[in-house]
Amino acid sequence: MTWLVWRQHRQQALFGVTSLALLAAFFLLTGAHMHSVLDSSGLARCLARHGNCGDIQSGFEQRFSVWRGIQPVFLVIPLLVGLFWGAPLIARELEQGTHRLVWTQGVGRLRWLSAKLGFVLGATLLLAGAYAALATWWLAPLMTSTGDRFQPGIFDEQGLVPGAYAFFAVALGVAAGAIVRRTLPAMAVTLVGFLTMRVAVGGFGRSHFVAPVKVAAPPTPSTDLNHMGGWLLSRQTVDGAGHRTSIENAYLSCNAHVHAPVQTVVHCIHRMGFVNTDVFQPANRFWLFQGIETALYGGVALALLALAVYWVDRRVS
Amino acid sequence: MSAILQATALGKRYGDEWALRDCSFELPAGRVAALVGPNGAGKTTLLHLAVGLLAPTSGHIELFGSPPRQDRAVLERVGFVAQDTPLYHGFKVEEMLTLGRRLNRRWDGRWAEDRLRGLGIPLGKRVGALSGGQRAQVALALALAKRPELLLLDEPVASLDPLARREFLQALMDAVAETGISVVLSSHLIADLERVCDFLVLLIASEVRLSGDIEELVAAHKVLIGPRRSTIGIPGVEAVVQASHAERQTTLLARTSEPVYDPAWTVQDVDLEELVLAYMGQPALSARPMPAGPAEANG
Repeated sequence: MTWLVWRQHRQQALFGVTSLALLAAFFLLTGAHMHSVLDSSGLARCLARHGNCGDIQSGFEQRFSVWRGIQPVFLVIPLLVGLFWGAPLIARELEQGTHRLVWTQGVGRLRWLSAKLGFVLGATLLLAGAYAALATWWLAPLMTSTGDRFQPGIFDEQGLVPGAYAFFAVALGVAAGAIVRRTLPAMAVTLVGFLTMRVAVGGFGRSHFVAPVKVAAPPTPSTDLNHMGGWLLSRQTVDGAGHRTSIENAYLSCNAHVHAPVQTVVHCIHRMGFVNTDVFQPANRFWLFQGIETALYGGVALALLALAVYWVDRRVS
Repeated sequence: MSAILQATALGKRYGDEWALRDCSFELPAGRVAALVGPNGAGKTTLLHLAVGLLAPTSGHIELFGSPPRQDRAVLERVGFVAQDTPLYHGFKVEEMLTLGRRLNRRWDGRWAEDRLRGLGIPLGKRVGALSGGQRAQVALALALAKRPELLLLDEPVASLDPLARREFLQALMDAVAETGISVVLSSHLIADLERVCDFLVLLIASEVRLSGDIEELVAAHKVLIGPRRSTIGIPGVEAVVQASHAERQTTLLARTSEPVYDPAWTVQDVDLEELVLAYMGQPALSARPMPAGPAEANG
């Protein structure tokens, strides 16, 4: 069985490894540069002291704005694994009838299926794991600079979750292929299913993994509006009469500008009764959320695989 | 002779539709059986049930006395060539043989290689680059290299041109002569199989209409031509398969239990194709009054 699975899928495997190698080369070259600039520009040291790093930081950001711009591309990579490794795995066999050839040799269909699944899932975990480690390292300087690693879209590109997304995408592709029985429609189902799950979890589910923290305080210039890299879910500012306003308006009302003495502004904001209420997920929940999201995708993936196994065992001839 | 393949009240239903219903027959060892019926009659379903690709909805099917769905080991004794002879088109011919060797305990690779070389099929060529006839030959060699005791072929010649058809059946008959295996071949055209088969299973509208030794079946059926009159109770006639009435004359195709001596009837022999077509022209079993009365057909 191992021979057959390797012979059938070696081209896809080779393509996957080559793509990863190219990505790795790109990550290593550009990432090493970013890491060294982060250190040599003094930005790392400045940020560690929580100093005012405005100039160094904008220099860094300007220099690497291109890399920040291509970041969204990395959201797509796990989906590609599902489309090109997952969907055809069973669908192609059913489409061409070759499952009837293999299942009537001396090997049962469940052994056949477990060999194929073992190969593709093993390869996925291996490659996606390597990819996630590289991406996390590569993104580190950009996130150190702005402290935005918990933000939707950026959270999704690092740590554990890229591997979980890839695993899920492959499982979805496999199940869709077993049920739909044709490669192209299975790819379409995988595409739609993957995006639906990502939007549902990323856009709605994730913020509720753990009850968020709510903090109400006068919005003085020294307030940490970033919550030290936390994930801000909502912000509401009211004036002394309870009318909705914004922090910018509060500052304007207090005549706060670059040269205004901080004490005066703080005093004014307190006196006028401005209160800002932030609802957010604190930065130290980052890995907890990574873990929850990984478990969620992993669980759905296992359910899809069980469905695929059932379907192949009982519903396919 | 013991049955190598036995179906008992076998049925397979998809939703509300029976693809195969109440199917009972047995195939003795050492025969080359034609599984004949119109498209959609259930031939593929029957073969898939026989090799355990499908599980029966009702009844059972046994190969060498074991149900193939439960007892996979029995499949080592069976060679199966599915419809359209599926093969991995990206593989070389020799890689297809490696596949057979890797997936089967009993495997005669040398024999398969010699066979394909003898047919002029290059082992280093990709399967996708072969002609349809050559692919069918590769699929047959793959099935035979398992050294099976029973070979099942689903419409093996349907997609081949007449020359490739003849070559394929010739190669099959050579293999049968060489190894003495039992064979079931399905086709919607009896003419394809007439020369090579000695046993018939006729499947019409999901039901087995007729099964048995072809010589015996042909010998037992006669065409009777006589004056137009009632066709009930002719001595020697067991059942009328088909009756057609002209103005003054009646022609019957009947199953006989003994010679018909009634001088009113002229008795003629039938050939297999006539016989099969007569049965195909009958209404479905379930729609027929019992016992078999005269079935009317004009023309």
